[in-house]
Amino acid sequence: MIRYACNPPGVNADSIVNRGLPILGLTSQSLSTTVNGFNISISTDMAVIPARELPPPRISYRIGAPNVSNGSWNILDVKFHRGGTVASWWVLVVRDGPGSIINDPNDPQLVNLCKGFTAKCERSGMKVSAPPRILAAPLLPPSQDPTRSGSIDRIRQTIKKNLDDDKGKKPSFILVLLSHVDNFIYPGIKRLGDVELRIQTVHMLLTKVLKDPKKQDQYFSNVALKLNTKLGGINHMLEAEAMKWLTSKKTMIVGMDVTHPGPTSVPGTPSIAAVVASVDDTFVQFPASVRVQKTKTEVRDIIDLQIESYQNVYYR
Amino acid sequence: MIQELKEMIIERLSMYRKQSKCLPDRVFVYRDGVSEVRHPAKFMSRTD
Repeated sequence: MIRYACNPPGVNADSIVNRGLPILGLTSQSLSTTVNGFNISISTDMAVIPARELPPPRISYRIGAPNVSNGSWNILDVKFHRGGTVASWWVLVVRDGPGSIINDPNDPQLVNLCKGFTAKCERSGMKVSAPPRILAAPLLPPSQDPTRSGSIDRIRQTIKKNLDDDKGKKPSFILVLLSHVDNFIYPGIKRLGDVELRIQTVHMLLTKVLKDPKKQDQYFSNVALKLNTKLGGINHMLEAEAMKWLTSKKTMIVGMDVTHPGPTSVPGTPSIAAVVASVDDTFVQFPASVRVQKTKTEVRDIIDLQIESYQNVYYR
Repeated sequence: MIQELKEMIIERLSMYRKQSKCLPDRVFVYRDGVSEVRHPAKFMSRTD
């Protein structure tokens, strides 16, 4: 659906005017006699609405202020506003069947990957105190473990054993290296880290990160952005001038949405609702509240709640 | 819609207050599915 529906505006406009109108019988040639009888005609020109394009605000880094164009900018040689600190980190190599790419802790590909990513993080302004500990988790083949719950348990036991060895001291994050995309392994590890063990996880797909050495720098940059935010750092901010209005009063920015089960979901799968909000004048961190809820039940809207909510917090 | 919106908004305001030591003067909400009668401008509100 999305692939069919999502087109550039020009393509859609052309489709509406040059294909849609004739198909619907709304051109002057094809307009039905009934409509003609009422002396009604339909213009084939779209309404023109004047618009203006606002200049993008500048993005600022501690060092470097790249030019923004079409919503994107180059981050290859910038320093984060506030670099996070990596006190310790682990690399978990997920070995999943014959397609497993790294099978030896001394594999030069693995050694270079760790070195390269460390160098990128440090160049971006993060502190990485030590080289990583390398863990490996061999998974069960999907034929024996169709929902991969046994494989997730192997990963769980691998991480737990290492936590026990360290008397429960957690690493700043675990870098998980996957050989290929799997519908159960990635969400399984995310859940393990976020919900169960409360350890930050960052994933890389080995087929992508090892494929093209020229693109590796860009790949590392993108993962470093993610990691720095997870460690409580600040990647970039809008320049002060652009922040002026937002910071002129204490402002909280809220985002909210609901995901509903898809057509292939198990019947009874709940919808998931989430609300995120900023917590200070940097607008960098947006911690979340999440709930599962019954599908397609419209209960209350924010407009009904807003004043009540404020009063609750105010008088608490 | 979001069933426990009230509880979640209170959680977010509490977190804001914990970090900023005050409540916001204004709140912007980004969301989808706003109908004509419930225009986004109505969502702006003040605590004072």
